[in-house]
Amino acid sequence: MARFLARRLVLMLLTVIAISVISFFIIILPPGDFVDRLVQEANQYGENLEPHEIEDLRRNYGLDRSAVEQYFVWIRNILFRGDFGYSFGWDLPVSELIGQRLGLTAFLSVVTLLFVWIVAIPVGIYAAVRKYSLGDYVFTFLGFIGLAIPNFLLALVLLYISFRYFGQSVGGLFSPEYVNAPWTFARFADLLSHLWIPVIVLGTAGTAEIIRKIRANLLDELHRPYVLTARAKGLGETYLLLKYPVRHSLNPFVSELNDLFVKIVSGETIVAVVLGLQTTGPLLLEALKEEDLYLASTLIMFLSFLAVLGTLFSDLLLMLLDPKIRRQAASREMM
Amino acid sequence: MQTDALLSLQGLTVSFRDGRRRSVALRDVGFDLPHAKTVAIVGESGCGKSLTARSILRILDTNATIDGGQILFEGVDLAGASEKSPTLHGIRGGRIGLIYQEPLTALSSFYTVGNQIMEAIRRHQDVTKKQARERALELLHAVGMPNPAQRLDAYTFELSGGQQQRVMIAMALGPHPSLLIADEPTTALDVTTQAVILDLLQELQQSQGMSILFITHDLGVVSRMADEVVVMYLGEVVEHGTRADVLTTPRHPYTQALMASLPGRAQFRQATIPGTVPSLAERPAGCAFAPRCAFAQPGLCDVQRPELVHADGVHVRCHAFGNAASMFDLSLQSNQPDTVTKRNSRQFGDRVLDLRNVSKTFEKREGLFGQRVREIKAVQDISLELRQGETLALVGESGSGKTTLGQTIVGLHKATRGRVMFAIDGRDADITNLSAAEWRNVWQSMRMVFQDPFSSLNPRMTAFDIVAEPLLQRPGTPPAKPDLVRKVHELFRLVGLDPEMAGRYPHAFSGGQRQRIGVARALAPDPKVIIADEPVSALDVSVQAQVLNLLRDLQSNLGLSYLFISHDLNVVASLAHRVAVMYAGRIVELADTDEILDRPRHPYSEALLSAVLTPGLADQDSHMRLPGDPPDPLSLPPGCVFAERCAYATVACTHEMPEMRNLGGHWVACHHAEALALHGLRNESAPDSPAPNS
Repeated sequence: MARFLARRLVLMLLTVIAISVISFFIIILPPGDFVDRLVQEANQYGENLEPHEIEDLRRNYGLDRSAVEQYFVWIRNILFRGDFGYSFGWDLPVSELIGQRLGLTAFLSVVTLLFVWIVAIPVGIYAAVRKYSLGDYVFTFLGFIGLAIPNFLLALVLLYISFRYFGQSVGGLFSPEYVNAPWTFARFADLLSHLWIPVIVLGTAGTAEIIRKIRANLLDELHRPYVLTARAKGLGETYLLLKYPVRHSLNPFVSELNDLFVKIVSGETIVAVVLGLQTTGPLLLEALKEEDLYLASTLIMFLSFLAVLGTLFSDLLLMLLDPKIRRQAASREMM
Repeated sequence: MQTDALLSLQGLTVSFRDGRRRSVALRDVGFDLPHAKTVAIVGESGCGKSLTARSILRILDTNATIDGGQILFEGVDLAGASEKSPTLHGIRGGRIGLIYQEPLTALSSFYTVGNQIMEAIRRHQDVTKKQARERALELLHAVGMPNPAQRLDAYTFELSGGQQQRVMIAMALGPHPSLLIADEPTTALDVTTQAVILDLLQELQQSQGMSILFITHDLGVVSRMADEVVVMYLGEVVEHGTRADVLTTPRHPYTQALMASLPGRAQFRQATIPGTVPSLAERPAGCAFAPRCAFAQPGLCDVQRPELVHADGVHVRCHAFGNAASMFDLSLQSNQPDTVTKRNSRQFGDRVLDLRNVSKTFEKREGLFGQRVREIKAVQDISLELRQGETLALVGESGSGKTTLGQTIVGLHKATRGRVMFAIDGRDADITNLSAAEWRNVWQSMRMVFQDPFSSLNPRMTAFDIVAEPLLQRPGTPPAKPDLVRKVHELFRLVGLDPEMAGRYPHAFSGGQRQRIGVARALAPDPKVIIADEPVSALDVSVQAQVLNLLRDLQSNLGLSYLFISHDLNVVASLAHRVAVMYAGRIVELADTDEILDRPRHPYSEALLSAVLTPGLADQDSHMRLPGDPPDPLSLPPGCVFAERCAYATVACTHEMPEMRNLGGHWVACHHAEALALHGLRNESAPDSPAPNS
């Protein structure tokens, strides 16, 4: 097990390095850089920058060096000084900018994921066991609606409801008085009271999808011979349902868990823009538009890292769940 | 019929709901199961055997309901018990245990076998976890599990098929049931494993005084296990009597026909039952068997349902034994085909297929980056010949490499070593390394028939398109439409299908008919050699006989050569001219069919033969059992592959690989072949019971 983990961590590290290279160079690839944008902006305001001023700017931002050099400087500073570079657009160190936002994004994603599970798993089981019942049809109907409604529309509707009926402030994850307040219990409670809208918006499509998946997986398992065996042993119906077919049906679901996670993280951008959330999505969007090199690269690297972490998590969960996979992993590491 | 039997079924009727329609699946089923006896239920698939078992335990699917009748077990009527009643749940698994086919799927792979056994014990007995574990260990001991303490924490996928079935048995026996329902418990196992498991069931029955309800389609197993036999057809009991009565003097025309359609010896055409078991929705009026019965009297059998009559200690549901008995003469045997005496020619032509030291090794990659390669030696050093008009059977248990060998010959795998020579236009051509285009050419004369008629036909193609496909794949210009239609219809008639049905999709055909389509597809380009991989093992006995007759007729009419891959020695004995016995990827013995069956010279062949069960032979058990399991193909022993399990092995056997030697036309790979006096099938001179021409 320890060797398996070590092996996976090494592979993870390699993946993250590869991602950092790719994300950095993809952003550098298009012609033009941040200074070009500054020059353009200055031109719009009727100011003309002298060539030597432009050169100075480039030197200041470190953009005069070759791409490879810039990359290694960036990485060296991350490794030795914990310095992720400087955001040109915000005029702030990247780490200061993204610290809280990254935390909020991770928190929002995990809460959404939990929401999806808590709703989808029991409903999926119910829909499979009571196939073609009224409840099954109702959930199927709601599920299709959930899949069909665009996220931004659902966000707007929920925003309206929360403002009209609950008297909450429009948008954001905090009420105005808490936005810049230090972390207290009251602030956390305020966060939770705002969180439900993005969680529902982000989770609905995923929930509908997972319900369909669990229902289909479980329907396949319900008539397997081992279920008959369990029944012939005289076990109670609910007990045997949860112990055997449900557990067998979770495998494909767990292995797709990371897909869901990635979907939530990347789907978050538009929702965050609509809802005015202080998460990484809008920041990344802005950084990409402005060719804010270090900010964009750092964000992409961290989000990818989250995705890689999610994969590891789902693999570990799969091993916990399925002894066959556990034994396979064990036999590989023995070699 | 009130008796002191342990289990008594009376007038049990079960129906299925399919949309708005209800169809009766069990009709008026009644029989008694005495204490400490074994009653076998036999019949073809779709006759309600398993449904009877599941009705007793009340574990029917939700679309099935018990409409009437009683299931009296230890004084309780299970048919009337409420679904939630604690009595029912206590009996289920507690007083009645169930084991069934395919232990791998019947056990969960997510929990250790110990967990699953202990769960059954703790459900029915008030014991601590520790006590349950001790009991589970005892049980694994009792069912003869090697290394039981270690196996307790194993998962199903770490056990062999025989070991898995032992776990199932241990689990069923955990709470000391008084009745064990065994639903085809050995059908998915190899014959040598089957013999061991049947022994075990008999031992346990004697030591625990259990009754067994044994459900099987295999009349050989019935003759080995049963005290009484219940024959079912389309959800009805048609005959019920002692084993001797039912198997040696079958009375009901269905039982007679079933016995007659068993494969016999010596390449005769076999008796068959025309048609197949109808679907439940198309239950005939009158006697259910009447449409397939050779003795059916119009106006009686197709109108009036016969009663179950008691005659000479046997219950028979047939008009021929009731008040109208005078109308029937069952001795006429008109079920038999008129060509029974036609024996396939033994005049073989030129050599068509020649294998020279063929080996097939698969690679298994292991390690962090798959850098370590281990070899799975699936097929090793096979040399054999096939002549025109000949049937050569490849016999062996699962994992022996027979299927891999077949697939290597037709080019689905590429041989790792050795050569395959195939006669094309009278010249021997090396077909070991061919391009895709060259293979396409070879596949016109060498065709394959597959085991599973359900998955080997594309469900989205009509039968016509399936049969026509190889004709359209021929090199050169495709045939004109009228020619194609004529040829396909001709093929349909050749395999005994109505060309009118050509436009239908595979699901509209029965299993036997589908296999005929598979044969027609193989015959389409006028092949010379057909490689048939277990072509009849998925079929019921009566349908199996039809397909075997078809293969025989095609051989004598078209001069085909068959490489017939099978695990079933009864089928092989009836069809093959020569037999090659395979074990762990090697041929250990190769000789004429009669030679091998009656005078085997390899200890493995002897073990295989002693495990063959033929109904009608009294006490055919020679008590020769194979211990252990075949070797792991990843690490084969250096010496004889069979040495570990061989009763005659000496030190030399474990070190030195025996060469294939020719002992007067009888090839055998055994160091001790000359010295051993091995047993074959016993009745060397007498034909197999009810021989077709008797």
